[in-house]
Amino acid sequence: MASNKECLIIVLDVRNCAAEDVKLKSVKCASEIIKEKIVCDKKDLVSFVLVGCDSREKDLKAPNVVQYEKIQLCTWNLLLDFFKFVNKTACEEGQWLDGLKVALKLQEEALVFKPARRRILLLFDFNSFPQDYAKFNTITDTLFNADIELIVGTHNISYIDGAESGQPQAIFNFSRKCSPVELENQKYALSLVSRCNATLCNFKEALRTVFKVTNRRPWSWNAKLHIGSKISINLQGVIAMKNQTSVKLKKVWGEDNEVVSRETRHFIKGTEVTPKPEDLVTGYMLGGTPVPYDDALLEPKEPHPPGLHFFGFIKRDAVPDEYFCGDSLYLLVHQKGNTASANKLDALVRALIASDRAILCWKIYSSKFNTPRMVVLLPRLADDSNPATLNMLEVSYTAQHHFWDFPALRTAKSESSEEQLQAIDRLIDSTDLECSLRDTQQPRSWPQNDLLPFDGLPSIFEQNVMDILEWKVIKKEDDQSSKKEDDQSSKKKDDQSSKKKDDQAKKDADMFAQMVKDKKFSDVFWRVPEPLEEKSKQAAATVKKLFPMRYSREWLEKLKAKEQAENGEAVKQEPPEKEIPMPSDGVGLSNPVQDFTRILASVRSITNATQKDARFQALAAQVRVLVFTLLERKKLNSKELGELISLYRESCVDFNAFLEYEKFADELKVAVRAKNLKEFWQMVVMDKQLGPLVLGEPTLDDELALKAYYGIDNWREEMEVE
Amino acid sequence: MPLVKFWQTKKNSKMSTWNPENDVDLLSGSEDEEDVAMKRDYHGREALLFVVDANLLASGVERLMEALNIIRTAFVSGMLVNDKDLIGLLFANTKNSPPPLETSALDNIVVPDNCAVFLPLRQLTKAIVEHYLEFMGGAETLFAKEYGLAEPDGCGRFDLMIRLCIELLEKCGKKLNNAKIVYMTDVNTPHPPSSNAFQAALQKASDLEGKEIEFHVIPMVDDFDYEPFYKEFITLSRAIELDAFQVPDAQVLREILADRKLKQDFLRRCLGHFTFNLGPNLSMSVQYYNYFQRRAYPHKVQILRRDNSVVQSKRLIMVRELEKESEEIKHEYQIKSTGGWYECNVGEKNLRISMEQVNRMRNLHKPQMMLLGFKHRSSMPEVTYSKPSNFMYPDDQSIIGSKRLFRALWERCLAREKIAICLFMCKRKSIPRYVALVPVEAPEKGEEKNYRSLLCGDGFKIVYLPEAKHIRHIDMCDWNKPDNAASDAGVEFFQKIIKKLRVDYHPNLINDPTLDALQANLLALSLDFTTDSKGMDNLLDTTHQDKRIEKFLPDYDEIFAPDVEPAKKRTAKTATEGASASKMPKIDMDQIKSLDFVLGLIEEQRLSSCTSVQLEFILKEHFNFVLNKSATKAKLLEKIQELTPKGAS
Repeated sequence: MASNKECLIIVLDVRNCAAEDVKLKSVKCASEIIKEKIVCDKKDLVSFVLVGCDSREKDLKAPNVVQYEKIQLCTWNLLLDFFKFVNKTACEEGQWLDGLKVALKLQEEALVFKPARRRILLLFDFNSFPQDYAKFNTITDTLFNADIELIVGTHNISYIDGAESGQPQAIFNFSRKCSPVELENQKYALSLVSRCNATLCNFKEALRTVFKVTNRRPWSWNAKLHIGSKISINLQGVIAMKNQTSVKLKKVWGEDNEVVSRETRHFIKGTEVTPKPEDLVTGYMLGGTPVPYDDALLEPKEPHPPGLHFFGFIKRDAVPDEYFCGDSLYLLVHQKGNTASANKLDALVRALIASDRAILCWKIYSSKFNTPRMVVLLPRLADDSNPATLNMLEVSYTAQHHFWDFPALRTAKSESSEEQLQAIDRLIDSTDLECSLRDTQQPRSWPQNDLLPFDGLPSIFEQNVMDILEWKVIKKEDDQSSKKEDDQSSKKKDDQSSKKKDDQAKKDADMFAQMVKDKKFSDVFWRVPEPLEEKSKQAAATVKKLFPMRYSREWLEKLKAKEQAENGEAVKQEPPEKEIPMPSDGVGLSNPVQDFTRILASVRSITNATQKDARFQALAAQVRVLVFTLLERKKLNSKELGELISLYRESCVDFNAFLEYEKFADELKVAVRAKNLKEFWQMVVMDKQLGPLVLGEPTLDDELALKAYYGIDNWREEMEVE
Repeated sequence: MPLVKFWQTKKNSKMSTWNPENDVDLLSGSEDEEDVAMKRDYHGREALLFVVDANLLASGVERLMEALNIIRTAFVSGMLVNDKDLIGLLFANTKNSPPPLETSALDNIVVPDNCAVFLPLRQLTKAIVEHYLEFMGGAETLFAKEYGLAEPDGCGRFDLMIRLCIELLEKCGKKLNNAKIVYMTDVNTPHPPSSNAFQAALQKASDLEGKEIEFHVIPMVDDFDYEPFYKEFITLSRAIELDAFQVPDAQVLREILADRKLKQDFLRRCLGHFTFNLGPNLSMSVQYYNYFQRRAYPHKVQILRRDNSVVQSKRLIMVRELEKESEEIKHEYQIKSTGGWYECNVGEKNLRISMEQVNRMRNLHKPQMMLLGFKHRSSMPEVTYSKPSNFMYPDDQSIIGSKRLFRALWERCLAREKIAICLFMCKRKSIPRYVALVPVEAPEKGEEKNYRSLLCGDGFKIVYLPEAKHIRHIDMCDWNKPDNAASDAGVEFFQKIIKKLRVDYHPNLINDPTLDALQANLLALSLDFTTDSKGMDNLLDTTHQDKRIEKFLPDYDEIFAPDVEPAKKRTAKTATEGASASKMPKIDMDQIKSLDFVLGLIEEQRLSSCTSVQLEFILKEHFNFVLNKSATKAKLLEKIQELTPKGAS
């Protein structure tokens, strides 16, 4: 397999005159690159060039330019050295073209390592300090002819869509007035794009450009596509997408001086046995019956011929994408240099597109990996940069498929009001990742018209691993320096060493936990893209207002119980003493408020949720009857009644008995009107707001409903006369 | 399941030798949902209780036989695929109640009138299937006599039948995680509406709901009317609203049941619940599902040749510390596969990350989904793939009101052709992934009667988006040539071929050939079944294809140039170019058969020119001595020298 290692030279601006922000971001950018390469691309070579060093430094290759001592693979030592290296004494002067010249020389030296790709990353502040552009053309020509890619990163870059191409284009910010020198510098920086295909970008984008690499010699699977016995096309399958992380972590089970082995032990009904290999025969369980099945006894079959074996032409979208399986997407392209196959594939793809078809076929990977798999081949026409190709995806078999029975979503109960739907629309509009920017020609700080482009999604997991590794390296450095001091002071305390080791381990764990807590590194991903954050928050708040949501207590309890069971703790039976014994009496007429409070307290103390709810129902029923009985009395005790009703109302909130209370409130209103208790209504029900319960923030509808509830206009006349 | 995923071993399931060096862990975290599903299966078994309505007999014995045949295939496939499942069979609305084969199984169970238990819930075995097959053989004539149809109107008590089913399921003696009753009938309602028995039957639905038992009715006629009874019964038994009921296609139900599949209840078979955050403080509860499960092969076991007892094998990881010189074991311990630690080489340094730290890092967040924004549906790349999609549906159990909010979001996304981009962490310790939520809709009733109607309901499809690094950018410049383009004649040729070789895709068009072959062999071995499995060789047979396109083939040679294989990759260097040539014996094999020649070699000190194989031969032939296979050439030479009689040469 061809190695795709690259050689990357990073040129950094360290001049005193360069903006501090640029210098900090450059170093951060370079260190991110090194970190990534340490963990993921271990074969890549890197070196650095500094522009703007004090001319008294010894190892100067050009005026004010220093290069790192060698070109090397990325290691943590390199990263640590790099941090020291960038802190060389700086001065005001420095030409970025000189930096490029030295970088070019380094690239030439690196040719002995045979890199597949050569790139230079220039991180520079194109400010108002004059630069000499005499060598501009020679250097850019050299870059172009040597096929070395140049990426230029600086801080004041924005993007607009090109007037003609519609493609994003980098420009310098016009935020303030520039001096003529600065304009000149920017002009040359911009012309790098046309002179030598350089990429001009801001720091964030520069990092992405460095990480996004194209591969000219991908690993490939050679196969023939057979249609019938006569037609065959020579193809190369290359991986287009694969769900695979490039962080290389190795699982280790033993120390260096230990031998790790994996052994098989045998058991019959729990007791260990040591059968001889010849005593054992492979078999399969047929329900509860084991059936010996000796592969060796069955006739050894010839392996199936490798390649792609045609099955049929199906409608382009006949196989639903829900049935795609496997862990990668392959791209099938004709065999490199084989024109006959290229013609055939081009003809086939065009014919497939014209008739809206795709190919279903068997894939047999090789004579060693001989299990046939069903795959679907989807055609893609040739364009400027690609020949005609087929996308290959594996399809799951019918025996694996699930058939779900989902109740329809559109039911009377889940119906939303017009207002609610509008709120959702507002949420969609204010969290739109693409459209809100499309029609504006405002410069923006990201290239694509999309805040979360499909091809630029970060790997959160890798980022976390790298952050942790970085922390470990830095900690190790610290530890080593402190250890030296320790060693001198505590040489004779060997007996304490084991205790110390334990302490150390605990300390490490604590430090790790603290670090994870402090850094919150993954939180950065768990948020709406910044430009949308405020708007989307507001929209979500409106939705929240209109859609009442609440947690189900029953569910939370179930969840808690499950969690406890999973954690191996037996679900603790609450000690019965904690439960206040149920009073044998009910709520009496003489002291209803105290009775209710007392009994409610013991209801609340019941741990069994179902039992608790049942008890509450009984208590509530009692109270309701009591309220109506009290209302019947000639002399109303309004205060007591008010207290009792408001207590009951509160308890309904706790026990989620909203509907019951609503029903009670309606009955109450009916009773009050029947008895014409105007004073009671106004003094107690209205003043204490004892109307139906509202979930969450009241909506307009709720408020109208409440108003309608409290309002009783037609009190009977005679009472008024009275 | 251990966190560890061995890429190499996964990619190559046949690799049996294990080398710790190869355990490069990429922590892919894929197929998390399958782990979840697997884990849950440890907590109990699945039970399937078939109930056949004797009324099927009323319109001729064929309908009954069709039902029995579906059960037969379900038995066989159940035995092959999910060996632990429990399966039972009873007949309802019969006249007689003959006892099952093992009468003792019903000791604690009261069998009401008009019901007959044929098989209490059992893990299937060869004997059970044989018994069933035997019964089926005579059922055509004997069923009417032995079981008969309940008199006078073929109506046994439905509620009592359900009670019997519940009792059978509850007293099966095994822990169940999923219990299903499958009722096969052709009668729209078990009792006339407004009768007392009808009300009693409906009431049983809430029992099923409370006990989490699924109830499925499989209509044995196509024009089955759910309205009079089953619509209400089923919605009650599942605690869903009446207007959420979707009438299934009877024919499809029967077809999939033969595969021992049922439309699965959405509440019980989800992969997980999580909260979906639409903004600060605004969340709903949802659950997600997979569209297909991992390939289910018959369970492979080791069997003791002597008595056919099943031998369980456990793989252990042993770590041993050895004494340097004596190679004696100083210290030995066993380690769990979840033990150990991770190492990362960062150049000159090996950094350790303990499992605990990895877990902590992966557990930074609770399982959840978070909305990041919306895009237009058309912005999705035409072909994108990272891992199999999932399906998402609201769950009103945890956050009440979720269904309404979910529906509103879903409806607006559908109407405005929007997709939601979210970050999704499906379970604890899993890797957060970016996903696109694509709104999908169940097809209108009767609009489409194909497999797609089985695929989705109303809800969101979760499409996993590849991370930037998962996408490989390939520069095709070495492939791009102006003469790649085909002539119009070429395109026309392939269009003709396409026309001749079209097929309509249906998921059950193709089965896994490897599995098919294995199952056919197993059935042949144990039950003496012959199945019509075609096998892979037939599938690869091109005669049929050749015949269909025969008349176009002469054009093929005319239009396209013959394939010229491009120059092969450079071959290994020849010996003259300094590369190591493969070993050629310098001394002829025939010559060393002579002892004199060998002694001559020894004297001339040329013995080392022989290959190890030759030396082994010499030792055996002339000195009657065999060293063990691992002996090096130096050892072989030494031995020969040692054994050579002094002065023999």
